[in-house]
Order: sequence, then C-alpha cells, then structure tokens
Amino acid sequence: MAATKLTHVRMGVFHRNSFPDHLNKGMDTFLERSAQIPVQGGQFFKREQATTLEHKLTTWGTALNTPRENEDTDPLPFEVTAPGYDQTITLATYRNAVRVTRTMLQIDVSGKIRSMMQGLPNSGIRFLELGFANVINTGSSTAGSDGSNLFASDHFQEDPAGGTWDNDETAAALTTTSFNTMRQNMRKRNDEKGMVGPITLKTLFGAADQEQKMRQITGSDKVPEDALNAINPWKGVNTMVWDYITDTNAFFGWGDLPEDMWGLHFIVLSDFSIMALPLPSAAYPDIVAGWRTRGQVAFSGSQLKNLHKNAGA
Amino acid sequence: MTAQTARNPSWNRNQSNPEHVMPTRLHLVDGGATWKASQFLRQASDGLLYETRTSAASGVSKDAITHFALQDLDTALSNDTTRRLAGIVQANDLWEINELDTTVAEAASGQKAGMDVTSNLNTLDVSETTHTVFNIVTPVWRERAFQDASDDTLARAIVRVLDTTINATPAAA
Repeated sequence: MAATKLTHVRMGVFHRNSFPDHLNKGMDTFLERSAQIPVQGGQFFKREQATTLEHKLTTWGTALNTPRENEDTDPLPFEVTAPGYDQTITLATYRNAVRVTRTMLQIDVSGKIRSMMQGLPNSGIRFLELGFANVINTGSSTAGSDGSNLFASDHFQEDPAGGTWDNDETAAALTTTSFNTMRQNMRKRNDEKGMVGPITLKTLFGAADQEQKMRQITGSDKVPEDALNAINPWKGVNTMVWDYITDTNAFFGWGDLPEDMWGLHFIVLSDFSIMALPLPSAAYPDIVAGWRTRGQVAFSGSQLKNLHKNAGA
Repeated sequence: MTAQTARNPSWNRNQSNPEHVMPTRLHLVDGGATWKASQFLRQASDGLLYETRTSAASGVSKDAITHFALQDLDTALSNDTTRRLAGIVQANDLWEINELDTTVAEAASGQKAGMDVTSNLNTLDVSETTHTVFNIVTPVWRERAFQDASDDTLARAIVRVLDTTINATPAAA
C-alpha cells in the first residue's frame, strides 16, 4: 500500500489552512513530535567573543630552544619564540521567525499551536550543530590558518626548523591497527621547535556507521582482530558517535592539548536569542503573536593540532 | 552533492514590506481543476482558478501566476460555483522553490527563469530563458549555511514572480 505524502501550506504564518487537524473537534489526542536535537560537537570548539562581524585570531607560543653550554663570561645566547599563524573569520547574522493569526489561536482545539512555535529556539541550536560539524566535514578541502587544508600532511611548524606535522592519516578502514597507528602518530608529534610534544588520544569519534567498530576496539578485553588473545591495551578509550559526520568511513582521534590549541573556533558576537515581535501591529492587528531568533556567529578551524583524521576505507 | 527533495513553493518574505502577510480570498474554482497545497494557481479569463502550467507563453497569457493554493484539491469539484481559499501572489513576494533537476549557481541571481509543472509539483527551470516567469533573487545555499550546498541538485532558490506574470491579461482556460 502506497504511503501518503502530506502537503502543507508554507505561507509565512501559522494559518488555519496548514493545520486542519488542530481544528478538528473529533480529535481525541494530540501527540507531540518533539525535535530530537542531539546537541553534539560544541565540546570540541573554543568559544570566542567577537567585538565586530570580523574576528581575527592568532596564536602565541612559549617554546624556546634548550639552553646552550655557555660560560658566565661568555656573551648570553638569546632566543625568541616562534610567531603564530593568524586568521580572519567573518561572522554572519542569521535570523528566523514565526507568527500566528488570531483566528488560528481562537479555533485551535488542541491548544498546541502556540506551543508549536517553541521550535524556534531549537532551530538555532540545530544551526549550531550543523555549523560545528561543517568544519570537520569540510576539513579535507578547507584551508586553515597555515594555508594547508585543516586535515593535511604538510603543516609547517610555526618555527620552520621544527619541520612539519601531519594530522591526515593514511586512509585505512577502522581496525585496532589503524586506530593504533593514529594514536601512535599523535603520541609521536613534535612541537614547533621539533622537540617531543606528545598528544594522548582521548576520544575516538566518527559517524554512526563506525559505532560498532569503535566500541569493539575500545571495549574488548582482547584485540578484536587478533586470534592470539593479545590483550587490548586501548580498552577504555572514549568513543563518541557524532551524528552529523557525513563521511561514513572516516574516524577521528581527539587529543589532550589545552583548549587554546584545539584550533576549532566558535565565534560569537550575539548568541541565538528569542525576541517577541511587536505584534499585533497597526497594519496587521490580527497577526497576534510572533517571535524571532537571531544570532551572529561563525565556525572555523585554524590549525587542528589536537585532531587527527583517517578517511577510512 | 545532495539531491534536495523537491516540494511546492513556499512563501518566504516580502521584500518591500517586512510585516507583509499573504492576503487570502475565497475564489471560484474550475470544476475540473486539481492541485496540491502550495502550488501556484492562475485566474483565467472566465474568472476561475486553474493549476498553473509549464512556462510556454513568455511569462504572460497562460503562463500567468496569480494565486497560491492553501488547500489540497485532490478531487475535481465538477462545478464552477464552489469557492476555495487561495493566497494572492503580490509583487515583491519572495518564494522559495526547488529547481527542476539541477544546481542553481550564484550567477543565476538576477536572471529570469521559467517554471515546470509536473504531477502537481511546481519547480524552477533555470534552463528556460525564453518563457520566463521568475526573477531569481538568490540560490538558497547562499543564505542557508550548512544545510544547502552550491552543488546540490534540485537546489532551492529564492525567486520573485515577474510583475508581467502576476499582472498578465487573463487568458482562456
């Protein structure tokens, strides 16, 4: 039996033609279809307060070369830290609004029409989630502050003498081996002076398609793919499904660097907020209520030193 | 690249009056007409409302777009004396509409385009540059970040119905 496709009128106002079921006196129950918003991704982003619609950021470092052999009577050897890459991020204004007619409220037998407009704040939250994930989803083709893509193998250290660093793993399906390679590469990271600067992989995340494998790798007592009962040393590593990740093969490792080194930026000039519209107005006395949500934000990546990607297979 | 799911147009905003709400009227409907809610309609020279059709008359005459369906009309009324509530399409109303089958480039902004009507579905046809009824304001991907992308097919666009199409001299059914 074929499914029925609903049609509805999108005329910019909660009007009676769109919601005949709410006007039906024979209806006994109104069950809510609430928005399921998982609220994901924000934990990886550093929130920064903007003062204009253009936000510029840079990094500064403390790493210096090691002391030299130098007698008290010798001239002192002087050092300076490396400069930082900077980035300009443009914020945009985003708005959304709802309104309802007097007739709609009067004849609404369910009493739910006004509540239906509570979806407005959720639309702002949903937008944030999409924005967070978009940085990751486009990271292999979007340049960061150093000119390389966010996930790339040729990032220069701030001090070029420190060489390059790589957060784009050789593509391979998620297994204990490829996970361990990622973990090892993060652990073997050098800092901007080329000195040991290990990163501990704390969280493994990916799309829902990877959840089973991620849990096996981090939950088994023994290495899942090993027939020799080798113990699984990575049992207990956090895993997370990020439902907005679009690449179903990719997996990501999140390290333990401090927040300023995450390289993921959530720039805010105005948080999403709700404001009641000045309704009814003289022109439309029977458009009785409405609200708008508004936010001025941007999402960006600069240098994802704390995050490795494997595109999977 | 994502193929958007095409749906009938939706009213987005009015460019000249931020408070504007679509006016509605009870209109006589052709006894043989059927349509879906949110379809564009046209008033013919007999005064009755009909489903719009794929652009083929340079945006005037039978290409006219004058009204907006507020209810499904799945079964023909079989008389010409029944009224149905319909929205009135006005100048400077901006509509969101899916493209027929392809992408909408940023360079399409400001260009004129036609409409395709198939199986009670109105879509924008950017390849129709002769028989035009819309002026494209912007592809939606330019203003709806993260949800729409420039390489989406059946892409959504914001359009304005041409004044000549709204005010076309009513043609015969």
